[in-house]
Amino acid sequence: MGAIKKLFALTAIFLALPAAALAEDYAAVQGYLHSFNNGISVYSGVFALNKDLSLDTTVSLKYAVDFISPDGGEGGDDDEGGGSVAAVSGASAAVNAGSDVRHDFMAGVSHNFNNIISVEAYYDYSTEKDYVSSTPTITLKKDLFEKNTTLTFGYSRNMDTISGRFMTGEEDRTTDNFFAGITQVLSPVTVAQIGYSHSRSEGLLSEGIRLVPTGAATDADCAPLTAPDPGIVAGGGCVNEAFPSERKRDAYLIGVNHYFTNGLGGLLERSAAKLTFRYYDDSWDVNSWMGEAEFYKYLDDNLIMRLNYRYYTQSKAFFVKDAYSAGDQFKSSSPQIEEKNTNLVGLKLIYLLANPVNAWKLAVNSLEGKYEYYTESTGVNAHIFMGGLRLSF
Amino acid sequence: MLKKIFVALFISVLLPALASAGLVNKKAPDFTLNGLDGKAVSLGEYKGRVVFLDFWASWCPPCKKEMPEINKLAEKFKDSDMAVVGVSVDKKKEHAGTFISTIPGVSKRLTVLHDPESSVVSSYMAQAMPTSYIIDRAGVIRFVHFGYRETDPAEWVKEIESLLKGK
Amino acid sequence: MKPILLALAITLGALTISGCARVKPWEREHLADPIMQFDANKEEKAVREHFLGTREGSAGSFGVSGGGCGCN
Repeated sequence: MGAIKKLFALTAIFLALPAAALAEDYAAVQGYLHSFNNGISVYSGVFALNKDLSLDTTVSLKYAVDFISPDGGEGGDDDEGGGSVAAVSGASAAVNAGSDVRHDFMAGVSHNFNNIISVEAYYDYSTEKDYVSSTPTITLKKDLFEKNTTLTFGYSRNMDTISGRFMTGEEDRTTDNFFAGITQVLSPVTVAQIGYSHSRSEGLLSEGIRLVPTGAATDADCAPLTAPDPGIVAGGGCVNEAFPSERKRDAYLIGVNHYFTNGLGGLLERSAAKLTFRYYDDSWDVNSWMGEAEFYKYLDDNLIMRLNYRYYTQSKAFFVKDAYSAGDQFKSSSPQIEEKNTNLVGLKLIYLLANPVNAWKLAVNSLEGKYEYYTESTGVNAHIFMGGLRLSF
Repeated sequence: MLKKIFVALFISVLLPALASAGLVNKKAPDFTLNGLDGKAVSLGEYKGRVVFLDFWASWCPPCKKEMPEINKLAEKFKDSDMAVVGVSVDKKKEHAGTFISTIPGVSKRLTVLHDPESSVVSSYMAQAMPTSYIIDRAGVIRFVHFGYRETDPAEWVKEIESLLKGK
Repeated sequence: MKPILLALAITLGALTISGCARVKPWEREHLADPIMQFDANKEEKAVREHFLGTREGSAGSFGVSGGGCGCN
């Protein structure tokens, strides 16, 4: 009986206070260009809609499209200047330096149940020539202590079907993701958050779009191939990647946002700094650290500037080697699980229109544009451009 | 030990709710604030009248939904003994002014005051933004609405009419 | 380094439970500013996370929402 009373008290606490806040109606249209130094360019478009059906219910819709344009790339991977594999969107190049298109649809709804708890449910579906992904997500949010604290719990399941060009058929991959976070207001100008996620993947964990040279074979031998050839040279071959069939991942995040009302002789007035740190490790022995800093500043009432810098470093997967033999159980040509450091630096400007421009039933409220430069210790780098506008209706 | 922790947690979580709910049937704290036109207005000036008092801010999305309804309320009761007073807690008066200017057909019966130091809203122990209080003719708070729900405008009307009847 | 993250998590959790950080609803003007949001531009964030996810071997824990105006 005592345990029941305790459970009741805990439930009463959890349900006692309000949850969720009202979103605002908006539509966003954005265009991106990711231009890599290996000749790959990815042109992306994002169209998003966020609408309050009532004070308690919000729906969101999003469509994103990626056009991948390799420039002479064929087979192999980007480090050696060929192919467009996993350039931005996971979409792979068609054979013989063609292009690929990835479509991504997302629909979601969030509802505040009587100011007790907020539930968000989303479904994401993406498709390209050799990869189909389906991901439902559910998130619960609860506000506590006069909304100074927000607890978030979520779960999503990726159900992917992969049919890479070097595969004879299609295979599945399933990933279960669990995430939790606490956001805590620390002062009228500071808010912090911590987050944790755990995921488990099973199935085909490679992509069937890369070949691995074994024995005496080299990357140059494998580059022009349209199918695996285990005996392409004497004592060597080009074979499919082989990854473990399971992967468990854990990621930990801590972040803090701070607003400056003044400082540095007025230079910091109406500005904010955001710092984020993330640690990750997994069952393949890939572990990584990420640190990111963003600085926002109102240059005037209508113009916001953002400067951002991100540093990332990761170790390689336990089975990644410089050279493979045919007898190796696991083989990889994936740059994703190699040891690397990356840097991302950028500038964004957001212009808030004092008098929104009306277009049919929409009003353009803001224009934005950014430039970022991405570099990897592997030698890959990319220029990233973005332009967009935000509308209300 | 666990039981004590739960009880303490339960009480600490409920206390703020109890504190503000405790203002119901208590005298409304008096105040004097400046309007957007700079003119000073005191709550005492409304003695003998029913007062709808709302605390809001330009940075508050539910306030944007609520304000047109408050404006309609002011128009609905314009020929009665009811006063509608909206108090902005924006730090800058111009933000409050810009916000009000977005309401089509602002009622002359809507009094807008500015509380930049948040001294008045803190005396009313508002627990959400917005929070509205309905005060009877004797200056006693009879109803409190934390936040804004779509059912609020109908409830406001019922509550105000009940207080207007009791002369 | 994980113990440090755990310690930070516990500290934040302790602050949460004690409720010693109690910012009142009317004090949240700056927290409501779009530049202070964790999820200010979720479309851009989604594109960035996807891009980085295809280049880097880690995934997950990209943050949650909260803070803001805390209205209603």
